[in-house]
Amino acid sequence: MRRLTLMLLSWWALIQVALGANVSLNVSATKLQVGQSTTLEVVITGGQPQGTPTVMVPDSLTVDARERRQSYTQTPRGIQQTYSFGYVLTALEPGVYPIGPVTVGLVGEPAATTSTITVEVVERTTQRPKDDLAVVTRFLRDEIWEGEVVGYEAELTAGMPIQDVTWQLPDFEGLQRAPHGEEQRSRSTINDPDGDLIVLRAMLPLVATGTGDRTQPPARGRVVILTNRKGWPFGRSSRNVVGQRAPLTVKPLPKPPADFSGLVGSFEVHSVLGKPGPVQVGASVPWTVRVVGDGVLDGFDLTLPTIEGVQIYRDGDEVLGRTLDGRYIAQKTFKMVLVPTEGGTVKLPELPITVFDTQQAAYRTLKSEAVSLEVIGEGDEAQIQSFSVDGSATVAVAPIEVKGLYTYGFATTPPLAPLVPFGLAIVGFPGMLLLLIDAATGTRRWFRKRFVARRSTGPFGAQRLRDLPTEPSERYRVLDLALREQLAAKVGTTAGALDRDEALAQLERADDVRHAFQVLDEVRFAGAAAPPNLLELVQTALKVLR
Amino acid sequence: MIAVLLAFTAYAGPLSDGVVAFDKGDIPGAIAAWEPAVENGWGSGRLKYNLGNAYYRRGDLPRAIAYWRAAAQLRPRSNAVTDNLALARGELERVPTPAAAGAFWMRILTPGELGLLGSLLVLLGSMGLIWRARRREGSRVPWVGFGLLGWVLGILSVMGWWEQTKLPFAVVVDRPAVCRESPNLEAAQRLVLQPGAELRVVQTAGSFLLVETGDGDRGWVTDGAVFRVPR
Repeated sequence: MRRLTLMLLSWWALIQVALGANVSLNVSATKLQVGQSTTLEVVITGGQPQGTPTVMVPDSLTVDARERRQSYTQTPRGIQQTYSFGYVLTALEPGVYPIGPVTVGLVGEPAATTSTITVEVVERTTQRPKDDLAVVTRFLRDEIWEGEVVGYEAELTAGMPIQDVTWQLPDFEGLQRAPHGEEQRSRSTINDPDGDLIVLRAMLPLVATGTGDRTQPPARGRVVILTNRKGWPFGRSSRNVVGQRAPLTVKPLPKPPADFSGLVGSFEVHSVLGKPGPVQVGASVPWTVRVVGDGVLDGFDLTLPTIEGVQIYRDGDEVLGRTLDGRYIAQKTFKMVLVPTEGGTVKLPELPITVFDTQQAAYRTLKSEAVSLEVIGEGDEAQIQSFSVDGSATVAVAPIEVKGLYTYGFATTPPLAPLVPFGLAIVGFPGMLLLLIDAATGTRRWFRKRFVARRSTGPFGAQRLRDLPTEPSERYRVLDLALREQLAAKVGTTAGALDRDEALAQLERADDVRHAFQVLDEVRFAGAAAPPNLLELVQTALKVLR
Repeated sequence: MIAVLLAFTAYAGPLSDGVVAFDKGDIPGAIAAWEPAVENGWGSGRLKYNLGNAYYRRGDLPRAIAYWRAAAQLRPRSNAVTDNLALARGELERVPTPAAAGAFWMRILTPGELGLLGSLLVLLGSMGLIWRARRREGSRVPWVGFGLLGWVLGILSVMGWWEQTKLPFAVVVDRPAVCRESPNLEAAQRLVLQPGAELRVVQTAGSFLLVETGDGDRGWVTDGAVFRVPR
């Protein structure tokens, strides 16, 4: 019951946003490890706060005020002012802690109070997410009843800068997406002593349509990672991640009573009269019956009672639903109009609705409040009033006018489209020229490489190592020639026309080649002793060049 | 660029002259001020829209529709043009479905705007390739992609402009137009189009035009039976 009350309070707070001053308490992450910090926010909409609100937390948490922001939003009712107070919440000891309610003093208005939020703190684990990305996919409950709504959560924790994650969810056989329950996504940052963590959480409410073991295969995600590596287009890369199998057991409902409404979950029903005071016979009195709960309400309809002395007319119904703080909440509003036909006190009876209460695991009959209506006058007065007694009234309908003239601007404008080909040619010329140069260079290199390879009839490049002379100076000359020929082929020229330094500058891995040349030069021309691994050095360089 | 802007400004006169006459209730005076600028070519969307309003005020719905359609080609995102066109069409009876205005994207962008967008993308691609060549790193694929997309948009824009030029629309004015099997006054009559019918001109043969309605019906009408807004 406490959970449902909290849920209704949250729902009511949402409805109140458009009506007047509203205060709310939000926390960026509800699960923390000891030593981690996150942001806490008190938001005041439609009112002006007096001073900085004080947030009281248990001793196992600390909270420090950090910033105050002010923003303006254009709404249908005019410009709305929003104040936001930011705090840093740090977890000190494990446990589950309620935070709030926070009372906010308002200028010219009574103080407003936020709802309570809960933060769970667990022991610190020194292990960071593997590869800095960790995924958890699960149902928020392992065992539910047939027809009940359960949340499926996919959570990604990243220890690196990420932009977003795109989830590929399972097919959810035996489950359906809850009507009006859009996927709720949140992004939070946790300040960890070992580095900030980004938590992306997606929650999808699903309604169980089948029974038995409904374990779902793991969800997959594609994470867009923000990278500073040069060469990656737009500084982004992506990586695939996989979650875990999500176990779920759906229990069949017990045999229902005859008056079972089909609702499964925790619900409340309220009945409200639009005009509480005495009304005249024949007057229209709005009557609203609202059913709120954590189950699906779309197929549910209200059976209207027959009440003596009152005519009841349906005025439509409306279903709202949303995912709020990881829970699905739905509301169905039945709008009716009562027209009393007799004077006296009319008693609107309690409206019984039999639901399957998942918390009690039993069928339960909810009842709305019984309300009374005082009706003044006699039955003859119930007449429909007309705006035109003699039927001569006419209704003047304003003619639809054409939109007004343009009073400024150019009278003539040249067409741009015929100039587009010229524009494209001009702005595209540098890029096309570069592409042509690249293509020509590549073609030339390829052609010369082919040409050089075909023209050589004898041993060429690395092939010369198969039959090395034994005489040292000749042996060093052949090694040098082999390197030069292979380098020339690599850069698309001939050994005779090779500029060694320039060719080496074109190579991405030139260290081994340069070293081999240097050793050979010292041995051949500076009289240095040949190192015992000279042949290996040359072979390594040739391998690089090939 | 400054000279071009000054030239445009010099042409701004007829717009304000016509507005003054229109506000005084002198509708013929307003039309006389605005129409020559359109007939001389390159009439702006604002001018054509105002002319539509003037003809509407004069009670000449077909010409009003013709000018508003011409304005819609130059100002496709203007609610005023769309609303007025819908209002005038709603006052007509027994006219076929208006001939389509061209490709889908022309309801959002003019060919010139699409071409400008394409040119900007090509410019971005070119700049990216230059940047890459100077840095000697990175992939050329995204920049080539921008360039190719820009060229596609540019070609689309020219095709759209070509379509608007070669397949102009016409509106039946003044009296019903007889639509014939062939470009000959003796040819069999296929259908009669009421004033306000919006047609697409598919072909020209002497003083006859092969026109098509939005329902797909085709036939030959005399050039004088329809009104075409000069580009």
